[in-house]
Amino acid sequence: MATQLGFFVDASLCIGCATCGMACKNQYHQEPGVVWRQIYPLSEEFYPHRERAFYSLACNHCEHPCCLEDCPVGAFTKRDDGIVVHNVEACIGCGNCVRSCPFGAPRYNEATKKAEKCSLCYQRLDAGLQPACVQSCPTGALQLIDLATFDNPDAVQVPPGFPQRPDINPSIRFKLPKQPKVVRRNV
Amino acid sequence: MDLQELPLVLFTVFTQTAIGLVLISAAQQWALAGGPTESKLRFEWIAVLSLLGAGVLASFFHLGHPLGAVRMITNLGTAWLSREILLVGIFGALVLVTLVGLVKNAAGKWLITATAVAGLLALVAMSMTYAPPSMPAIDNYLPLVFFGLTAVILGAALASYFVPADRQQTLVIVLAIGLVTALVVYLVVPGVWLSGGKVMQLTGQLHLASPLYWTRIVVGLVLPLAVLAWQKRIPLWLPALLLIGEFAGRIIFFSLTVSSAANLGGLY
Repeated sequence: MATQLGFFVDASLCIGCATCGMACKNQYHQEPGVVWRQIYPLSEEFYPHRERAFYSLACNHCEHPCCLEDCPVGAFTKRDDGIVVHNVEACIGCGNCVRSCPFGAPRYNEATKKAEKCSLCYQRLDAGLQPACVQSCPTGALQLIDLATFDNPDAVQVPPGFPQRPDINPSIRFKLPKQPKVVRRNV
Repeated sequence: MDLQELPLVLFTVFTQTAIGLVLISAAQQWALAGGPTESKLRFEWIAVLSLLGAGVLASFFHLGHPLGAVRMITNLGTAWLSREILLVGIFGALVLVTLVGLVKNAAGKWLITATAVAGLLALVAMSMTYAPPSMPAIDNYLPLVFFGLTAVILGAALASYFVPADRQQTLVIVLAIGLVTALVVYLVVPGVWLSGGKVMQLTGQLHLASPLYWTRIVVGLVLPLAVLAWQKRIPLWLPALLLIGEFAGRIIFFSLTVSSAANLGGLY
């Protein structure tokens, strides 16, 4: 398999502190309301505990990205390392990528009248650095992986709370959150 | 509704009305009895061009950078939006050629038919554009059904302006079939969505709980059907009522269809 970079989200370690999202904001200074990485608390429908669990999500740099396929002006490209890059200069702000992505990665910027999204910090990667979000995560819950070599038996691609789109094949893997222990006192 | 979608409401409804008018016009050339007279036919095609122009003009307001619109056909390989723009452009060019032909008495029924085929292809491309992978409720052929019904209903309704009252019978039948089909589709589909995945269920629930959805059913479909059954003709004001109904339906389409991105962390 060719190199395909992506994210590993270890929900058993994530504490929902949103440092990853803040690091992204510090790195790129997006307009207010434009968020490239967001923390989603898991629904109580399948995680019915007082303790909460979270997925930290951004662009999944899919194998078959619908943003790239559906963009009428070809503003998206996929690099050799699998990163899906949005060329802001070419974007005409039609919003088709925003409407198409099942994972909500591209966001519309009202100030620039263009779409934008996570670039997996490819400039930082090219300089030998980690993505800002990965570097900032205090618990190690967010990691950069290469799916060509990634081999974690605990990892799943489509956990509950994440759209099932095998045809698009998002380059993300998850470790499920821990089920909290219930300690009962003998009466 | 997100205001950014309003130009798309205008674009899709006006363009589909134009396509519907052309389809009816082509059918009248071949099979449907009771077409317009030659001078009325010219006016009908002027209406087609005007509707198409209004729709295309509205679509520019949807773009953050309208001057970049000329680059929208650069991804024909995979983007349905590029194909839609190209096919609507071809349809528009053929409408213009047909109209010039009609003015010069040189437009045959083959040219009108070719224009109708281009319109049909544009309708298909349009329906695929608005079937995004993020919306499981409409990531299928339903937009084609919805858009096709808009074309038939508004096409037949507006065509009544261009034929004499005593030759409207065929249009009344086409419109009635369109309205009955639309009524069944729009009542059944939200119920089917309720039996789907979570995101699809949310779409169905939003529809059934929406006053606009029920208003559209009554004002845009049931009431026009009752008028047709009672009067057996298409009154002058009915196309306007149907247009309002279709606008309401399209606003519902764009605002009440839930994206899986809106339910991340929840069930799919």
